[in-house]
Amino acid sequence: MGQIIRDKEKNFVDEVYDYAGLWGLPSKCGLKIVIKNNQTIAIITELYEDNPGTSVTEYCPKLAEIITQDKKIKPEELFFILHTPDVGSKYEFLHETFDIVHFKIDNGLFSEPRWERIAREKVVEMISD
Amino acid sequence: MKFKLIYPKWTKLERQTHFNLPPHGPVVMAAALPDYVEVDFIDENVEPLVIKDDADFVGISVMLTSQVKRGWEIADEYRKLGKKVIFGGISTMLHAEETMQHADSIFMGEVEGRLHEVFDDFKKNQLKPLYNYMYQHPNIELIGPARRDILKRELYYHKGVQMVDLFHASRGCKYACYPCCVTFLGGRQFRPRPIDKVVEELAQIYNNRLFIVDNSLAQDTQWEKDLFKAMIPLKKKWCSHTIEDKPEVLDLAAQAGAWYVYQAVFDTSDYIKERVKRYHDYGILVEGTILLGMDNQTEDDILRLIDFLLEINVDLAEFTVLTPFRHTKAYDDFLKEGRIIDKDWNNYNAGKVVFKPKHMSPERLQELYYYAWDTFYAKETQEQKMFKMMMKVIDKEMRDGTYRSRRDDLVQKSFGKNIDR
Repeated sequence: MGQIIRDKEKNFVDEVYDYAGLWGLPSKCGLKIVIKNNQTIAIITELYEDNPGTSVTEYCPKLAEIITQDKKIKPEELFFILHTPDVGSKYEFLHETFDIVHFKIDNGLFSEPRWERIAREKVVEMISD
Repeated sequence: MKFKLIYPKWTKLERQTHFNLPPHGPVVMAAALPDYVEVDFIDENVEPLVIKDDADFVGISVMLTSQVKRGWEIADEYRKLGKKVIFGGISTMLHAEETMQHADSIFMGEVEGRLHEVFDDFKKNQLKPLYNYMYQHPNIELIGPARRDILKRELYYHKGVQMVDLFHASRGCKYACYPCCVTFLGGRQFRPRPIDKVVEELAQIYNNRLFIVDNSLAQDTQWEKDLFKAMIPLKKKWCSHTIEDKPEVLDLAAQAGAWYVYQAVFDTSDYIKERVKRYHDYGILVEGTILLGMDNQTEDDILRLIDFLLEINVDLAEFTVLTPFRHTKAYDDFLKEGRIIDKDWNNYNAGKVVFKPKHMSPERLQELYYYAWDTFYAKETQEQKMFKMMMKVIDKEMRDGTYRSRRDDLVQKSFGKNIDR
């Protein structure tokens, strides 16, 4: 497990999570896990150039599987949120986004990802005490 | 050991005048091969590939996404003959998981200091499916002069005029532009080569006209200035991607032989207009590179951009449509939003719309792509504009005493083929 690198309130990263990406490529993402109302909310943050391996977007079904196994989370209790941080650009397509990723889950295997865009405020509300 | 190194063909950008430049990746790769390896290089863009049992080991080098499918076809054929096939190059890294299905081995990352292991494994029949050196960058000083001797030189002439040679002075890029995968490929740390090594390599290149293929030279002002200073005595003429537009940099660049630079024209601002003017003030020509279909562009924005290009007098323009190449933020965004409409990698040549644009239909963006080319070159064709640019460089070479006339024996040929008149 990696060290805490950022202010969790600001960036939703509690740890830098190392995972084996496609073809075992060493890869990293930000990971924040919050357990609330019998649901485990995992916020996966894209680290862009700080991730030397597979992008979290395309890999999210496998990543969901890895995280549920590693963190002992029941697949059906996982609420998977993908976070792409703002990169400081004037262009809107480089601004921060959050997406809930819905999967088909079969025997602990995740597939058929579908992304649903949500606002930051909604995410904050979801993880607040 | 005979190693057949193949550079697969691809479909060129529609509307753009077709030239074939000597590829860079294969010659850089060849420089890192063990001494006992004899290279037979085939660039399928300029010569036919006959697949037969004439090599011990086959390598396929792919730079562009639009090359990968052809690369896979070639690999499949060689593997039917019982040959081991290894892939490397930019698009191997972008399409690693698919490429693995067509290869005995793939190499990811930078090759310097790593190929002895690969070839030793091959000799022992212990080739690994994956040599993964992503982000384990070799010592930048290990990058030696590229093996341009593997190229069949006469195939890179058009009507007797030699094409530019490709060359690189650095790796990595500190910028992370939206449609670009360079930070995935080479990391976000700018890694300049030592200037003495750069000069040593440049001095070995017979060709006086070069394309410096670095992603951007505008990353470290002092290094950039030192590079240009060191290049002045070589009297080469060159084009490159962006350089800084500070007066002291432009002055040295002009002295070092800057012929033309690529400048991304992404809006109609005074910033772009003034930047182009500053290049021109120093005698440096400008090829505008215009990406169409960004989410912040409406139809009107694109039409205004084309008028603007004519107004600011860029010397040449290259239009492309936004293409969501793998391992870019554009790809991830469009995937999430369900906007990718075509996953045939042959269509990822930046001239075909493969996604749903935000403000128009894919068909309309495709029309605007053709409109942009046709409108910009309506009064003066690409050939006429390029001829003017050639005359400028010839003039500079005449003044420097470095001009070489075209090769008489190749005036009837274009990239190895006879010209039909």
